[in-house]
Amino acid sequence: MAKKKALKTLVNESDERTAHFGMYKVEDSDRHVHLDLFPGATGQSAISTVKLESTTLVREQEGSIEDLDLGTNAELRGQEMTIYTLVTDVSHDTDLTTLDMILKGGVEEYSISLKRTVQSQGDSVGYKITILFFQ
Amino acid sequence: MKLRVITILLSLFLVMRLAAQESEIDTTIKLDLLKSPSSPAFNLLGISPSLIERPSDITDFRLSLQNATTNFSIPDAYAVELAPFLMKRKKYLLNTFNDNKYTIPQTFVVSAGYSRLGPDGGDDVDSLKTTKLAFGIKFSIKRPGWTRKTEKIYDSLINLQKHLLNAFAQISQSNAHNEQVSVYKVELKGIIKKPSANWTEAEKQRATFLTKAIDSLEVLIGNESNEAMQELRSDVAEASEVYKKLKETASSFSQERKGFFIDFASGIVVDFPANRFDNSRMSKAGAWLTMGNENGNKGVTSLFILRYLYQPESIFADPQGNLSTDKVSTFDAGGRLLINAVEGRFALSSELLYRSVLGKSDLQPSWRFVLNAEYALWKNQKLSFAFGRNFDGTISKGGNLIAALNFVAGLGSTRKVATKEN
Repeated sequence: MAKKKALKTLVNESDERTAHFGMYKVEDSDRHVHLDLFPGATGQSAISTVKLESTTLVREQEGSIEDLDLGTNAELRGQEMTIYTLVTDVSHDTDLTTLDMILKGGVEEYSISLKRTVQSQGDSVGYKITILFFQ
Repeated sequence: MKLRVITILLSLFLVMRLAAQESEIDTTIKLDLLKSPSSPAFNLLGISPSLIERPSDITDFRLSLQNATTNFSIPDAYAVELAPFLMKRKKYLLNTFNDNKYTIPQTFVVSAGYSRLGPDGGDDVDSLKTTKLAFGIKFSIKRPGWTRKTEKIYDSLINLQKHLLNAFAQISQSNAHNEQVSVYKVELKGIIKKPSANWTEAEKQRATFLTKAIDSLEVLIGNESNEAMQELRSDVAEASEVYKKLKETASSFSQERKGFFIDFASGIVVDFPANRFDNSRMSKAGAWLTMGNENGNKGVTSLFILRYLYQPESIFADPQGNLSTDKVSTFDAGGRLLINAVEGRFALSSELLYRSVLGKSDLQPSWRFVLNAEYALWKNQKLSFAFGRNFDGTISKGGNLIAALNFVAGLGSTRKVATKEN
């Protein structure tokens, strides 16, 4: 049996970015694509909304989003997913706000890490991630 | 009947007035002696808390190790404290801090330390140095939940966040750069109508360019939208107002907790006397179990501590130091109970300490107990009761109620009770 190709993780880390646009390659299959969304840092408060084209998949969810089913590879082709997340600095231990997104189930795993350090306690940061699915 | 009640009350009142000679009872709370240290391993190893490295992620930990071993030299002491579950990609956000499901991973701390030091006066003599390794863990098994007040503030924080998230999306969508983004997206969506396997080289290059261009514009839009919110600009007045309120709420947010809790801490130190790994012995160990009910000194508040120590610096049950600490295990326990009832008119506080040396018959276990009770009868009139038993068995009492009880019940009693603690 041929050894299965290991999933390559695309990590796009950059300093102090709050937005990202990227393309995610899907295949012509019934396999489902899943989304993980991990805002941070520990102790901060976060709210997220996820849209696929004009359909809201998740509205104003507190905390993390794990294993959200976006649909099959074939269904997602040509569609656009938009994520808005707001992270508020509540923790007294750090001023860092972060947002990690992972897409699984397509041709390769795709991940992106965004972060911004706030200027003063209680500040909020708005994040936006847009992904265009292509085959 | 009425006359009898009035007579008793009057007698009590008079006795309270007359009983000005209250005996003094040592009510000092000594339970803190048994409390688990913030870093059990380092406490046993004798490393100062200021020397402890506390990396927040793997990168920090790697840097910490690199700094400690600069030029391949091994430091005389190194101590690190890690919260492994907080280093994962998935972060524990505020909403999980009121859920007992996450208590252990959120509070789990591992500490590890190393020292290679000589005895006092022989610090620099290599042959006298002993290598010591310490390892400790600390975590909460059950954590009190948030108070109703904290939950209410959290709800208002989330509502403000929801408002601001929608406002941020609107600001972002109305940014002027979106016009260019739309143009680029139309072109990109035209290319991706075909499977990428069928793209020409020019289409591949164009798709890469457009993706990067849109990404750059989105970053610009993100920065401008955040600035608009944060700078409280007049063109986004509504969002700015929400931002301001959210900032006030978030900056003053604190997690007040109320309820039952259980914490565990443990540490061990291993000595390598000849600085060889095949020659080691456990030199110290300790375990602490702390539990109780946190209630902000209202209603019932309690604290219970169980402590086991192996070869401690000093034996709690032997303050004079008559017993050698070599291969000695001790078990100590303590409890504190505070009750505030009848709308604050009744207050009871008590403390119990138990100390023992395990497996040694020449030192018997001993205990100490203190109890204080107060009941406010009228304004500035309190009925009080105090009772104490010291480790040596001496009993003491105090308060105006005890005088009253002596007056009422002391007629047939011949038992003598000490009025002063040792």
